[in-house]
Amino acid sequence: MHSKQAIFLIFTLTFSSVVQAESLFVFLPTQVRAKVMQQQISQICPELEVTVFGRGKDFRRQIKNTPPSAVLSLMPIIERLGSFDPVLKGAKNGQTREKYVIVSVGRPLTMQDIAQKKIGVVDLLGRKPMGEFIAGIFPVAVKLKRVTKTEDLLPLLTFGSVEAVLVSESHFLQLKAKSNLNLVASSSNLTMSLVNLALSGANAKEKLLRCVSRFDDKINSTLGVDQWLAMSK
Amino acid sequence: MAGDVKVTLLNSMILEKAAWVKLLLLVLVLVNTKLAFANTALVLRAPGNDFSEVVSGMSDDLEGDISFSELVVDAGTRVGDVAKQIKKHQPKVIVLIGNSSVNLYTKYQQAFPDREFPPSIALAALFVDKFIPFIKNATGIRYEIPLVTSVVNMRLLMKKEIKKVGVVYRSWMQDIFDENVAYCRAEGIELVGGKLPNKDRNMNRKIKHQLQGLINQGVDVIWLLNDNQLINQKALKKAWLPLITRSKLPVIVGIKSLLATKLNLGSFAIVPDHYGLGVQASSVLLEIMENNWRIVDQGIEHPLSVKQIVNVTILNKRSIQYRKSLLSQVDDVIN
Repeated sequence: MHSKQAIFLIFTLTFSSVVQAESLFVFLPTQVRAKVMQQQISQICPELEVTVFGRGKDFRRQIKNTPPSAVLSLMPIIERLGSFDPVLKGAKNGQTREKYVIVSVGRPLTMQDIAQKKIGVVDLLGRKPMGEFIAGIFPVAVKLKRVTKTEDLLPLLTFGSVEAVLVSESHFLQLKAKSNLNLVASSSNLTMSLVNLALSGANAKEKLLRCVSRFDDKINSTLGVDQWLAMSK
Repeated sequence: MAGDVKVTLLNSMILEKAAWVKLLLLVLVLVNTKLAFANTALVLRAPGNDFSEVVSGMSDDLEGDISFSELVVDAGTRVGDVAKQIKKHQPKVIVLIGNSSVNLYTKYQQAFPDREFPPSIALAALFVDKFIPFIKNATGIRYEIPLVTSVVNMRLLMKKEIKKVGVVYRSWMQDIFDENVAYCRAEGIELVGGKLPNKDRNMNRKIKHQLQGLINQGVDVIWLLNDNQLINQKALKKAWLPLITRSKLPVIVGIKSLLATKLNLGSFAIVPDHYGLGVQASSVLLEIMENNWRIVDQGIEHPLSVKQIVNVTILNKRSIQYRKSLLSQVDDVIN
């Protein structure tokens, strides 16, 4: 009985190591729920083990525990991971970068207006790194009010919990479509690249590139892009 | 001569041993000092997964800055247990999660009125703003989701325009109603109310009367408040279900169980995201920490993070049109 179990264990371990799929982790703020996006990408790329994260903390924890073959995410997040090389960049209407704006209610705010004030952001990097990231962008010191999901930014403005929120231009349009508040935007001087694909090694490169090339309009639209471009070295 | 060498060696060994002992003592003192100065938060929380999710949200976010010690409050937990935990951990701040924790800590403060109380934050407790005035040095986050959050999410999904929402409420909720009227107005939504007395022998009849009044005023949606005087088996059977079924109106509820298809009542539930609530609480805790463990101008906040649940079977049954493509933005779809 014991020997049978041992053989079964060896067989299972051997077999699992042979068929273990390359893995893709996805983390970026979108309106679409993580489980829905995971289902959509998994259907298109069944050869990959796809995990979509709704929360940054879970993403960072899982990266440490079981590092994936590749990640789909925003550049500041990828850069912070350290061990992933970008190979594809997403583009929309020919642009690979997007402007970020400061959104407030009633009147547009200047940088001086927001000095020492509370600003709402989606937490991409974790508490301290996010603080450092924003401090590196804004010429004035601000207090951050971080939320875990993009849709939590609107309540911050509704309840007057913050002076303004920092969002991409496309997210500003989504906010305007959702809310009847008099939302106005002013420039933040921040531009960020759209979603990127980054690899932890060259092993699964072809498989991952093939997967992204099969993304349909629905997935690309969720990811905020309409085209994928190879990264120039 | 050889004897001298032996003595010297022995002496140096003893000295060396003494030095090690001193070093060990110093390390112990430093460790203890660090423990004593550590930023500890004592969490009093009710049992249950939702409440432990709140703690996860806080501790994940504040990892490395504030450590959390927990006391799970159940029917057997006494004021003395709270006193013991406070003595043991010397917390810089106290987090009260759930109504049972809020009640117990209020009793603790009443039992020791001459003590200095660290700042505390109450959350995930119903109508917390009614209890906080009875706790010294406290702030909090409400558990109730304001209608504006629910209706803004819901109207995106609905094909029919939502302009008027009706709610039946008891008079003690007047300030909650007024506040929601103001938030809704800013979003272009009219909130109309059917006011009830706090107590009445014929409450169900009065609920029915007020609900019918709202339907007659042409409301687009009914908002059901989490009030056990308004929502109980009898009230559901005698007042809510007959009128709601007949009116075919969508109903926003605050508890997932009220969305059950069998019940045939709620079509949308907007409930707190407990992990998100924990993250929100962590920003309140950070502010308290930055203000040298004092609550400075920190009013009671509304919850920011919610989960959306939709029962499409009920929507279909009532012929309520919705945008199927947007169901991907909903946390849970009941088919």
